[in-house]
Amino acid sequence: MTVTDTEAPPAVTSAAPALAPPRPATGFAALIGTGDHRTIGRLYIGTSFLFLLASGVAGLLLGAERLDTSGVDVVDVDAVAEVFGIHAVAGVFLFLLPLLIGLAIAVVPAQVGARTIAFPRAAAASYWTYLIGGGIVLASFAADGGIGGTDADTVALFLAAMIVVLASLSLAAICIATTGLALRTEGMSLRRTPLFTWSNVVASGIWLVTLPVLAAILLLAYVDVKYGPTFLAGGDQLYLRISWAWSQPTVYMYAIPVLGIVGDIVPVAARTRLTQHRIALGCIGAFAALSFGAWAMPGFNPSLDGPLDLAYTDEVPFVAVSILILLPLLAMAGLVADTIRKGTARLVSPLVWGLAALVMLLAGAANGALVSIDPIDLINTTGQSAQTHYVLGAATLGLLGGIVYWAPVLYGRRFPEGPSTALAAGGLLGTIVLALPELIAGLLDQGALLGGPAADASSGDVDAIEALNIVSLLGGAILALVALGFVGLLLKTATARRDGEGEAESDPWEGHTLEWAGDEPPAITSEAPVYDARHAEVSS
Amino acid sequence: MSATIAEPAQVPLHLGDVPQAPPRRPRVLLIGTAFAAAASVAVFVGLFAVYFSVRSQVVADGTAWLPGGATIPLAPGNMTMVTLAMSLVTVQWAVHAAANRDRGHAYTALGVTILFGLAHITQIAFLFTEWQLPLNGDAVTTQAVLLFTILGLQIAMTGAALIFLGLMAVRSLGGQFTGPDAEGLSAAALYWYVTVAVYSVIWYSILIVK
Repeated sequence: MTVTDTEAPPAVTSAAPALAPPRPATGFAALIGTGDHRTIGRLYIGTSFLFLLASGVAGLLLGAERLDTSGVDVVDVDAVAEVFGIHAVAGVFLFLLPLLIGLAIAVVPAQVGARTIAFPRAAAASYWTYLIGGGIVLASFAADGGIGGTDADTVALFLAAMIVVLASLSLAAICIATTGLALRTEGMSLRRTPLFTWSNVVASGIWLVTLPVLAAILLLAYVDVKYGPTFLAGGDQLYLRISWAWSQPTVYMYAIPVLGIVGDIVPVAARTRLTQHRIALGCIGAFAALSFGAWAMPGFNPSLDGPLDLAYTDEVPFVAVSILILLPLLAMAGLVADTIRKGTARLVSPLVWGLAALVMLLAGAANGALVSIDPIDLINTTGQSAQTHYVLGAATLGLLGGIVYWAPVLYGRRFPEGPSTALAAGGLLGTIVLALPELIAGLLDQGALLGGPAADASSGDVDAIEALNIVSLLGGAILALVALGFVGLLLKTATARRDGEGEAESDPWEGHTLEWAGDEPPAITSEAPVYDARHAEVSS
Repeated sequence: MSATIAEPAQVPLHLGDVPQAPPRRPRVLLIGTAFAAAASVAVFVGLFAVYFSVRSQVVADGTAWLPGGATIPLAPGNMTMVTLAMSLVTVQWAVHAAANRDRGHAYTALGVTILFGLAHITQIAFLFTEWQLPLNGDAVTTQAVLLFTILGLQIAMTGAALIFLGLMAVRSLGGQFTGPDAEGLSAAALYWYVTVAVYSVIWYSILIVK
């Protein structure tokens, strides 16, 4: 047998060039592939302000349309429903809710001591899906689709895009709720959870059982428009079918995190603990439970012939919820007042934003209670619009306050105090000037949808209503200026680190919760671990 | 001689010396799946609300719910209900087997479950061809829109649950979720239970009651 020896190849002894580690992606590639929760949160926040532009312009057009109640002058008659649609849909689902989600994605993981958000790729996917879906929603409005659109294909496109947007926001809500429940650091029981995190956990739960109901209606409308007898989406029916999603009591669900923001800001500004943290948790939970309103969607008719069934507005659950929701808000306001009284409060700008939000939320809930009282007869008047504007205005003020408060976490810099405080005051003034005249005009029977007063309104009432509409438009203009000013400050703050301007401040407020702890988080022994650690150092 | 039995020496127990058990991995996927399942159920609650609202009005007007010529045969719906009921057993079998590191049984059970799921889809597709409710042309009715949307979405949900199960099967093959960490399979099984529960409501309240 012949054995053939094969010689092993000589070992490579020369120093082969080592494989260089892959260079980290930069620029747009890094943005596309990011799973960093702060980056995703910042993307949500920035994009939502872009969509606010569309909603704001539509709102101002509607306000201008109401200046003369004798006819439709500013907007084309056929386009009124579409302008209404842009104002509502872009305002709630492309601006406010994504802004809430963006802030939560950025802050909640840091508050619970997690390195990242649960399912970071899903959170990133939710952002990109929201961006694309939101763009298609606005494009479909521009192409005679959307609510009140007459082109069936673009109406269907709008419906599909809205479903995509709702699915993406629901996905983000899953990520937030899971982070708050499953990724809390050791020692942080639910009772010790920071209020902002807790409010986002319960808000996400409510969103996850409400937004899919809206998506179901839109899905039916989509199939109806594409194939069916258009029993759902014909004419202005679609607006009436889905407007429950931004009406009482559902509208309150967009304001749940505001209670958490206020509850986190106030004790920090007052340099003390929040009075009765556990009661605050209960107040937020009760407010969330009462804000679930998918049951209040109007009844459905198999054809366009029958009137929309709004009978729920006369029923006990609607009245009870509308009045009961005042209780957790009043309790929360009491806790806030007591905390400020016991502490040594500093009038920092996040506190001004937060208090403005809480006051507006109380005003909205009081307005809502009025709407539910049948003899006052505010249903289908601008009194309902006023309630929506109060609550959504409160949610916006609270969120902007949250961005100001957590700007050092988000952007490494803090907002300039003076301009920020002035904007908060302007936001409060603008919301009141926008909504209060609407409520009074509603008491004078001004219709909610097309702006004009009821047919039986006297001429004196019509003059008063038109005067009130001028004031209300002024409020809208003030809010537009506040929004522009805030975006300017946000851009300045966000780019300050890149430009090397200002000083990096990791904890300018002397915060109480883990996002302010830096690299060495303390043990969790209460709901304010950083506050505890700081005081332990001082006393030792 | 009496033997003295010495008592065993008392060894003091120092609990501090016992190494702490490693912290359990948070059940992130299971909790996330529970939220996703709740959202899926909410979609169907919305659809059911519209369905029953419209149906009650039609019936109150004194007309039959299903338009003339349309019928919902019982056999496909019943068969698929039985199929899905059996899948509840097989999916739990898969979870149990994975928890006991029994790969053979886990894969067999997952395979059978996926087969049952595919059978459900084909049976519902067959039902669509049988019930004489067209979704194209000029004779499309409100009933057709509602029934196709609800059952079509349930098929989509079944598809999503099957993909979830398939993914977890592949991950189990890699050993990521076997034994005490069988969380992925538990999560997929949870979503499967919800999928079957949704179909059972459709089966009784729509296909049986009509």
